[in-house]
Amino acid sequence: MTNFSAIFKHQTGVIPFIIAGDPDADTTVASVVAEAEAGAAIVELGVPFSDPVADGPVVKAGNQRAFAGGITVAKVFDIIARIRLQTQVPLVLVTYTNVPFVYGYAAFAKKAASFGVAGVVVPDLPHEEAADFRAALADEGIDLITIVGPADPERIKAVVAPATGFLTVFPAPPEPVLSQEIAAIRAASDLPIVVNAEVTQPQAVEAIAKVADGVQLNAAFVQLIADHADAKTVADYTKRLVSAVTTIK
Amino acid sequence: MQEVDNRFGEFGGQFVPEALMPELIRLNNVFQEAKTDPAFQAEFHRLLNEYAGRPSLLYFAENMTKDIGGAQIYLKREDLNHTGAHKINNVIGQALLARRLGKTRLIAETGAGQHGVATATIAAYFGMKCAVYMGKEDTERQKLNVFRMQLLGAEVIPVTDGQGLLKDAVNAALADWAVNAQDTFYLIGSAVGPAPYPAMVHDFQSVISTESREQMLAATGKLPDAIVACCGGGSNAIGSFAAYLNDPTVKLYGAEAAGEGLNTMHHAATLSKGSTGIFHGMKSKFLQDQDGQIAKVYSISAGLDYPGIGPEHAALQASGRATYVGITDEEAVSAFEYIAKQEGIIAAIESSHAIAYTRKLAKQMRPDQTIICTVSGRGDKDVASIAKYRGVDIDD
Repeated sequence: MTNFSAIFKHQTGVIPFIIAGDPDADTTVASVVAEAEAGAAIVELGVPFSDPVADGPVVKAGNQRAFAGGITVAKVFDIIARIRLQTQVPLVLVTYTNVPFVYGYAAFAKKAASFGVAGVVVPDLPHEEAADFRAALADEGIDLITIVGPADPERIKAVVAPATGFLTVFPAPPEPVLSQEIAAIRAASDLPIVVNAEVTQPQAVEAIAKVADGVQLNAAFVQLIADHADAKTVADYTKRLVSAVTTIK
Repeated sequence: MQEVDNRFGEFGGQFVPEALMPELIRLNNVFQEAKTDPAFQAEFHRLLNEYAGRPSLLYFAENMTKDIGGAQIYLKREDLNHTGAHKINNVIGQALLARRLGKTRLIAETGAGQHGVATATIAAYFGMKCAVYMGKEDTERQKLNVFRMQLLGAEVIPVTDGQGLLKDAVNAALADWAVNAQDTFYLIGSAVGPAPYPAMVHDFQSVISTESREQMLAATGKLPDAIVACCGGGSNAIGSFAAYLNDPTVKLYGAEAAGEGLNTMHHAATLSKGSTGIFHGMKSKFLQDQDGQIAKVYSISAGLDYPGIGPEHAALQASGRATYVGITDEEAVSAFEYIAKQEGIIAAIESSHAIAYTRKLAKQMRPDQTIICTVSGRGDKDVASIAKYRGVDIDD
C-alpha cells in the first residue's frame, strides 16, 4: 500500500484530475507528466464512463470528448503505461462501479497494480457495497479511496472504519460546515483528508488547504483541457495552486 | 421474491454516491415503519380507492378470446385509473412517504410521461412543488403528456444529455436529488434504482395482482394460468406478478421492447440481450458494451426505452420463475390496432407489447385456460406517433 500520510506530511497536496483520453491519449500523457513536474502530490486519472451520474456538466463533457476520441478501458491502461515511462507520481484512478465490475474486480486490480496505481476512487460505491472491490484492490496493494459525505458522526465512523489510503470529502460544503465536517472525520480517523473542491481560484484553494491535507480539483482541470487541451496550461495552473498552498503547515 | 439485505438473489443493492446514503437510510426506515403501520396502510388504500378509482376492472376480453381461439383472455384495466396508468398506485405510496419525511418537493423521471403525469398529479393534490425530468427526445414524441404535466403545475425539464431518453432523465433526477435532498424526494416510477426503491415499487404496485387474484377467483373459481405484462424498468410487471410469485402453476411473462428486432442493434430488450452490471444504484441486467459502458437503446415506446431492468426481474429470470420475451415495434403497433378494433380499447403502446405477446401465447393454450394481460395504461398519448408510424399525417 502507498504511504499517503508521508505524501501529505509536510505540505498540503494539490491533486489535479485528468480524464484519460480527453480529448486524446497524447494530451492526457503530456498533461499528467507536466502536472507531476509542476508539483502535484497525486494525479487522479478518470477512467471514462458513459453515465457519470455523480459528476457535473464539465466532467460529463470531458467524458464525452474522451469517447469521441475512441477511448476504451484497454486504451486507458495503455495511457497509464506511457505515463509510467516518464513519471512515478502516485496515480489514483477515478471511475464508476460498472467499469471494474464488468472488467472483473480482481482482474482490474491486478492490471492497475501492474502499473503501480496507488488508489481507486469510485463515486457510486458506498460503504455498504464496497467490501468486495476493496478486498480485491488490497490483494494487489491498492487502496480503495473512501469518500466521506455530509453525515452524522455515527455514519462517518462506520464509513471510515475500513478505509485505507486517504479520505475524500465530497461534496465539499461551504465554511464553516467544512471545518466542522473535517473535525468530525479527524475524530474518527487518522488518515489524511482530501477535499474535492468545486472552486478554481488559487485563493479559494488556499482557504481549503488550511483545513485539509490535500485539495482535489476536478472541474477546474477538465475545463482547462476543454479550453486549451494543452499540457503547459495545466502545468502552469498546477504550479499556481502549489505555490498558493505552499506556505501552509 | 423476498428481498433480503437489500437484494433480490444476487441483484439489487445501493450503488449511489455516499452523499445520498443517509437519505436512503432514512427513507428505508420510514418505508419499513409504514409497512406495518395501520394508519399508513389505511391512508394509502383510501387514496387508491377514492382518488385513483380502484379497484381497476378485470375484464373478460370475449372478442379477442373468440377471435384467437385459445386461452380465455382477461385484461387488468390499469388504463382506467385516474391519470390513465398504473403509475398512480406507486406515486400515492411514495408521496405519502415523502410527506412523512417532511419533504416539500417531488422530483421524478419519466419516459412516456405517465409517471411524470402521476407525480405532477399527486404533487398538486398534496400541495408540493414538482419537477419532472424527461429526455428531450421523449418530450417531442410525448408532447401531450408534457402539456398535461405543466397544466398540473409541474416544471418539465427536458434532458439533452445522451440520447435524450429515460436513462438520461434518471441521471438528471439523481443529480438534482444529490444536491437538493434536504427538501426533495426523488419519486422513482419504475422498479429500478437503489434499495429500497425496487421493494417500494413492488409493494405499492402489488395492488394490481392482489386485486386480480381475488377478481379471477371470483370470476372463474381458479387462479389464472398465465400473467402477461410489459416490462421497461418493470413496475407494472412486478405489480402484476407480485401476488402470484408463490403460485408455481401461474406462469409469469414480461414483454420487453425488441424495437426493430432482437438481432438488430435497435432494441431495449435488457433481459433478452443484456448482461449483469451495476448502474443507477443497482446490480441488475443492462444493455452495455464489453467495457461496461451503457448502450444506446431504441423502441417506439418511450416508456420501455431503457437499458436496464428492475433487480427483482433479473432475479426472477435467473431463478426461472418468470420468462421475458421480446416484442418488436411492428408487433406492438399491430396489437395497438388489434385491441382497438376487437375490444374498443385504445391501450398505451407500452401495454400493447403485452397484448402482442398475449395474442401469441393464447393461441398455444387450451380454451379452459386463462391469461391475465395487464393493460398498464391508456393510449391517447400514442395516437399521433402511431399515425406517424403508419405514415398517416395528422395534425397533433
